[in-house]
Amino acid sequence: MIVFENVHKSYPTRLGRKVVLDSVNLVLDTTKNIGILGLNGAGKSTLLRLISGTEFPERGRIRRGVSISFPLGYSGCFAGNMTGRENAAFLARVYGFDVAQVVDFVESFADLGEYFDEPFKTYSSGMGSRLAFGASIALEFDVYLIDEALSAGDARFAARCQAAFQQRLVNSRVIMVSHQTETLLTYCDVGATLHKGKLTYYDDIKQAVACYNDIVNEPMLTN
Amino acid sequence: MNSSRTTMHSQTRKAWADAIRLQFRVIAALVRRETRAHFGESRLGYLWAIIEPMLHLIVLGLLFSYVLKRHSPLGGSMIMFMLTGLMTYFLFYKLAAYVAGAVAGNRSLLNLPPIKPLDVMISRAILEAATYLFVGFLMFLGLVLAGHGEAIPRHPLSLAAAIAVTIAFGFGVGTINAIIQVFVTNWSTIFGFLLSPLFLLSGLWFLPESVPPPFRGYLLYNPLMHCIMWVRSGYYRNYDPPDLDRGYAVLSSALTVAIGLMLLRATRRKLLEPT
Repeated sequence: MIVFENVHKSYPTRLGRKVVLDSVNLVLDTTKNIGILGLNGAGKSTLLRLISGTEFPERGRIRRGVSISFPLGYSGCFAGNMTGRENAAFLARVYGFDVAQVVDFVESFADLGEYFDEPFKTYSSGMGSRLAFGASIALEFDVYLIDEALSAGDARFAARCQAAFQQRLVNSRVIMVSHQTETLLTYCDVGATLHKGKLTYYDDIKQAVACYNDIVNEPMLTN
Repeated sequence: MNSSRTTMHSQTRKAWADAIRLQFRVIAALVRRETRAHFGESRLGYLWAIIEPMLHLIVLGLLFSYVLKRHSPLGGSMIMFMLTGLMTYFLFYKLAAYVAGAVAGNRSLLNLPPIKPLDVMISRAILEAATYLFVGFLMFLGLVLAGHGEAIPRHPLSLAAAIAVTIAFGFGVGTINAIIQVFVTNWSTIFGFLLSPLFLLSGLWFLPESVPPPFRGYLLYNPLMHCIMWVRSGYYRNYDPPDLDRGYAVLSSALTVAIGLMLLRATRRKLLEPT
């Protein structure tokens, strides 16, 4: 269960504060896969950061009874002068997993060959995301956060990601943010829309997608 | 009723134990990582991290003891007098400056929820203090081997306490800086500028006892001056500076740490917002 208790979050912008969450009270059932829909700039990524605990709400609190991943494929935490192996080991240590086991998994999954022992800064962007996805999948969480990207790299690696991820979905669930309604319909059971500071929950992802389509087709109003 | 209360107690205790274990784990991982990030890829990097401050100290020490031929106001060895001051000063300064970059320089790392700003600050402080203490140990060992018997501390416990207080002071100032740096760009430059007089005024180069009264009083507000006096009183056999106020040094470092932690608590909701 992830429980939102009166959660308020806004950002200062040049045009005043933009409200992302306006006193949201909500319970997310983490036995289901959850899809979150919203227009560009509605604050979906901020919502994920709040759920993961990276950012704090201005008011209210979020209670988590489950372990939550960092966004799948996030590579920002890798140090440029550390090798792929060291970066994977670092993540394992921080999250308290068996270092050797995680490193072995990432090594075979990312399939970087000799580059696994080269500094991360020498990696191409494709290699970087292979490492990042390998590390994300190697660590076991109750809930995985997915910000758009479900896989990366060439078709072969993407297929490997999908397959590995399907295996994780046996015991874990996802909270997924995406514009691609088809992806959400494939993976998610329930859904929520984020629009104008309101987070609205739907028992059925199809219903959430339908409501999202209504928001997309809403006529643009200038005040 | 009673038993449910006991379970609740043991549950909170378990939660605390878990939180502390998590923090230890994260700090240990961070120290390893910072070691790599700080010292570079090669083994030479570690060596350089030790050699650089040593060269720095040696050049300054030689300059003052042999080139300028100044006489030490304390004991027989000018280089010994210099080193006790410089080591203490740099232990404080390096710690303050390095901890200051903990949040602003590690935003991507702080995106990982288990890693809190305080963890990064603590791990940076551990790494920097360990490096500098090791450098200091080597320097004084070198002096002893070179025949400077004075370089063996006469009051090791007092010296250890003085070092601990200096580390706490550096950590506190660094924590405060780290938070200001998030909200004020270029703060590190401003801070360096603000702090530069301390290099001249903290009693590295002179004994506070030699400063005439009205000014001596002003200088004694500087906690770092007390740290340096304290370190020297731990080294020298018969140096018991009348102006040294150990309580003041302890209190001001404790206060800086407390202010830093309070600022951290007060700004934690804003600290990690992407800028």
